Amino acid sequence: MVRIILLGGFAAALAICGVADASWSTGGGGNGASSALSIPPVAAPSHTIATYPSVSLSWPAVTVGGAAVTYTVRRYSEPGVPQPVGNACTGSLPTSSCTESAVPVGRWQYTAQAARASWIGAESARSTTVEIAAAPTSVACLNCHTYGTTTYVNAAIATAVQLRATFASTSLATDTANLSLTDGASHTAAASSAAPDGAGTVSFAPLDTSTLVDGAVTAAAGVTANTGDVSPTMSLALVRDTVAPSGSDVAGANGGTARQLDNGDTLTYTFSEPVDPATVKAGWTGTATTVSAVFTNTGGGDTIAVTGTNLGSVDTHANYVKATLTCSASTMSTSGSTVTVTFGGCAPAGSARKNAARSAFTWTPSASVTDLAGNSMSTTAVTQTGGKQVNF
Amino acid sequence: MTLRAALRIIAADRARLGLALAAVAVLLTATLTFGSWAVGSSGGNGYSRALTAQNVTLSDATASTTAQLYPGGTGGLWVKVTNPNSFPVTITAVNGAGAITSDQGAACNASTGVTFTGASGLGQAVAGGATVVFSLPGTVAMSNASDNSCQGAIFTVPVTLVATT
Repeated sequence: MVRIILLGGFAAALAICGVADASWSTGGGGNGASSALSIPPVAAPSHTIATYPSVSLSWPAVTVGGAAVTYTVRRYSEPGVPQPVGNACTGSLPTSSCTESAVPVGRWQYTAQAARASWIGAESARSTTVEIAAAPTSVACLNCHTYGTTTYVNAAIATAVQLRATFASTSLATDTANLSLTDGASHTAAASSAAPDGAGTVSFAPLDTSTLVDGAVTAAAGVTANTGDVSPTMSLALVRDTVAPSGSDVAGANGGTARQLDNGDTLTYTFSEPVDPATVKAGWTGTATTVSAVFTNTGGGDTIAVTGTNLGSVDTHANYVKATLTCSASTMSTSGSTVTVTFGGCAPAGSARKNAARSAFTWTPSASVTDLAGNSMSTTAVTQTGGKQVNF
Repeated sequence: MTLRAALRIIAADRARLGLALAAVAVLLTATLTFGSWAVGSSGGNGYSRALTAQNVTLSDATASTTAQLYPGGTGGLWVKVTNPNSFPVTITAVNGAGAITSDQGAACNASTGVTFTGASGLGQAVAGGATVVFSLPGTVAMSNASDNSCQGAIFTVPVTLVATT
């Protein structure tokens, strides 16, 4: 019995010692969990018209887990109709900005949407409206004076220049039509009016150009949308000229027998500036034309007048004729600021005196003559420069 | 009886000693085969008191997750483990054990893009009777194949654990 107890105890001791040094494995099964991010929403793009008609867009960049995303930009009409987006906002954009070029005329709103691989974030809210407004199709001055291809603002209208702009069918009543006059010294006069709803014209309130200086003036008409966006302008080149012309000189010259009025003699009128030939003689374009000059005997201060013209009268302060002398085949021409009459066909021959005294002519212009801008001639009498002299 | 006398008696009865050792070996083999273990020995006489190592259990860890996955990115796996034993165990490895699913439905499940690489060499201790939530950073990857509907998804990742005492 004692042996059995000892053997059992020894075996148990071995077992205990062996277990104490073991490392047991266990385990288990089940589920772990992991979760995914979402692409954050993008704020509505902001926009500017950097260079008409290009719209620059930008929006706050987003990331997913710190990783970059790409963006899709969409353009809608205000009612929400999708529009094709132009360069360079098409496709998948790696940056949070782009500039769409050649955006058509209209009112547009933009959205941005982030994406990464197959993941697509929520489309942003639509931006505020940007308007690509069309420029007026033309600008006209209603009361300016036109000579040739030049449009003048003269003294008569300088305080009330009437301008009109014409708009295409894309014009919106929510737009404001603007007009400005700017001179070479950057002085301006401006007016505004509601734009037409569709095609139409806007006649602006008369503009006072008193603050502008004479010279080149630009009339520019454009549109400002209620979004603050502006259109290009349509321009009209004007010339402001408010100075009235005046007589500068008058002089006779011998073309035949000295000191005697006869065929070939000339009378030259000099103005302060070129004048409109049509105001000298109706229909005259400045090319040589036949006129009739009449010398009237006054017994010592004979006068000269050119029939059918607005050249005014000349007092010769000399005794050239004994009776009325008519040079019916005279020729009138102009060059620069002068008008010259070359006498011809003078008759009767016996009316002309010989050895006329030296004198200084006096010329009284007519207000019917205007400069090219339409300013009326000063009627202040002009005395021949150089004093008394032999004229014919 | 002295120790020397006792050893002499044991050595003299080698046949009974062999039987006793064989009984102990059978007892140890039986307990380890079932993944559990026993302390002490029945010795064939009905006196022993047995201890059994039970498997750890896993429960829902979704509440503990932090959203990290995105196409082309990696994230962690969260595991919530309960050790039902009265003694501590150490989690040494977590291995994938099946298809990964999501809470977003069929479209996402069809293409989660999510893979679990497994983790070994761990030393996550779980005290006896304790529940522990731990994460395995960077062990879950999401490819660009992840379906759009997987945004914000919580993925269920079947795993098996290896633990030691």
